[in-house]
Amino acid sequence: MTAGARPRPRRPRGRWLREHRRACLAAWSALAGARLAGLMTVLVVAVALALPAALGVLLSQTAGLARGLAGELSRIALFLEPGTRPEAARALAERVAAWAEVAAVDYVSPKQALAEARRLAGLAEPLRVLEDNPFPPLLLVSPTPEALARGLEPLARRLGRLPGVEDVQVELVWAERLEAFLEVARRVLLILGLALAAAAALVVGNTVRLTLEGRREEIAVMRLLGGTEAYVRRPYLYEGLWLGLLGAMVAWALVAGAVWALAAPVARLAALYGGSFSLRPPGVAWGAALAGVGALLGWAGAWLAVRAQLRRMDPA
Amino acid sequence: MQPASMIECHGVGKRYPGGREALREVSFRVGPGEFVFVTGHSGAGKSTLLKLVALLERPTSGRVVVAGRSLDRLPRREVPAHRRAIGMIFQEGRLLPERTVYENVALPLELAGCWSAREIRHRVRTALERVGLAGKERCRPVELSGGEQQRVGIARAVVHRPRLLLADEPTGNLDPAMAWEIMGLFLAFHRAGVTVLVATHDPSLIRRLGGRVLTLQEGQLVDDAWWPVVEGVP
Repeated sequence: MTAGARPRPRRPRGRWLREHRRACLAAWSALAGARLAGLMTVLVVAVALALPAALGVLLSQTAGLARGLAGELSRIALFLEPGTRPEAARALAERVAAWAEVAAVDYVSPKQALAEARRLAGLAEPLRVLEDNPFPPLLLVSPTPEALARGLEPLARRLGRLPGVEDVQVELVWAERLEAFLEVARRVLLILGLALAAAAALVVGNTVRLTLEGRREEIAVMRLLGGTEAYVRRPYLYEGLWLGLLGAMVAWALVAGAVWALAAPVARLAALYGGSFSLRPPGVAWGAALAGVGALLGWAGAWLAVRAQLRRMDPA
Repeated sequence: MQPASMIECHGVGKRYPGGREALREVSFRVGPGEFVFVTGHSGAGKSTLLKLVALLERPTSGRVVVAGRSLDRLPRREVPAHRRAIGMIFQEGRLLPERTVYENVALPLELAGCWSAREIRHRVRTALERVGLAGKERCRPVELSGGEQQRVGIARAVVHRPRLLLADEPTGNLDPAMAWEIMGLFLAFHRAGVTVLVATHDPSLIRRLGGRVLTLQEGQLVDDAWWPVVEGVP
């Protein structure tokens, strides 16, 4: 302590909490006082958060559905030795169908395979010149969702050890395509989310900076009288927090409203394709997480603005 | 324990960004409990000198020591505590217009965060009584005269009972009668043991009171002398 000041009494208990409560309420009052500016910022933050949040909801709900669909399309092709008799092939099909990891087995005879190949454009003519049917008997094995989730390699190995099986091919094209698409969507969501979150923080920071400009003299006097940076910036940080929190709440309402508006048409569309998919509104935990993110972004934006401004106002 | 000197300046210089040199090689010492005037024309460096002592600015050369502590090594986080230990009065009062007199005077105590609400009430009332403003607690600064506003500023500067009071042109906006009244308050604090440094460009005020006077001219300390009381100065 300088200036030979008299010894100070200790801080009264609970002072820190009281100061925070006071700063928090003061920020709320200031925000309520500046209705239009505050409302505009809240809406901008809401839109910035609503977009990635809506995409997130959509992605999380459709990913499960799409994975199920992909599971149905993932199959293991079991090529049997040429000359395998149809009875033997069907017997093998029945044997495999009894396995726990297998949902269904389809037998494709060489004749069926040839007919199928002839239907494909460009193959009819080359196939006509062949004297013999080049296609071996084929079993198409559809795994259960559990087996699919564990991975198809163990099942494919087990199938490959069966007598009369010449080759095994795992058809994962659809699953791989879907996984790749989901990965792209996730990355896009991440990039978009980060960009819009930064935008939300900057918008809050700019609003807080303008508030700070308006109270320049008050801040200067507080600094002259020995107000610490923490004391001076606290109400502005709370202002940022309120703006972010309110923005997140409005964003939640926007997303919930959009889901509510889309739920019925999406369910109808799914029904037309024989499915039963329906969009669910985001839950309370999801809303709480969004509110936390909004509050954090608001606080961070305000902190950046206040820190830079205070350093400029009081270089000592 | 009382420090040997309250203020020491050793070859202090201050150059502002842009090149203007506000102070050059200023050296002096002020003992505890002294009453010292700093005078000089407008732009002589009086306000800058007070700002360096209060650590509102940092010198570009030299060293300022307050109550035995060198300010050049004071880290940024300790600056508020240094300012809180000093009482500061400004020509324009610098009261917060949307706050009441009570709230303005209580501000340094709130900033320090060391007092209970009851203690703050007691100290604010005592300070307002000392400057003759008891009963004006609920007024806003705009409802007060210039002299009253200045007295609120003084109450705010002494409410935490500092041992060093810095006043920058405290009577600059006041008529002579009011200026004399304000100086009377400073003298009362001085008699109570407070070190007082008053910057003024009004020589008649200094002649009427007499005392130690530091004279600045174009940023240099050109005189450090004892001025006698001159009777009959208006």
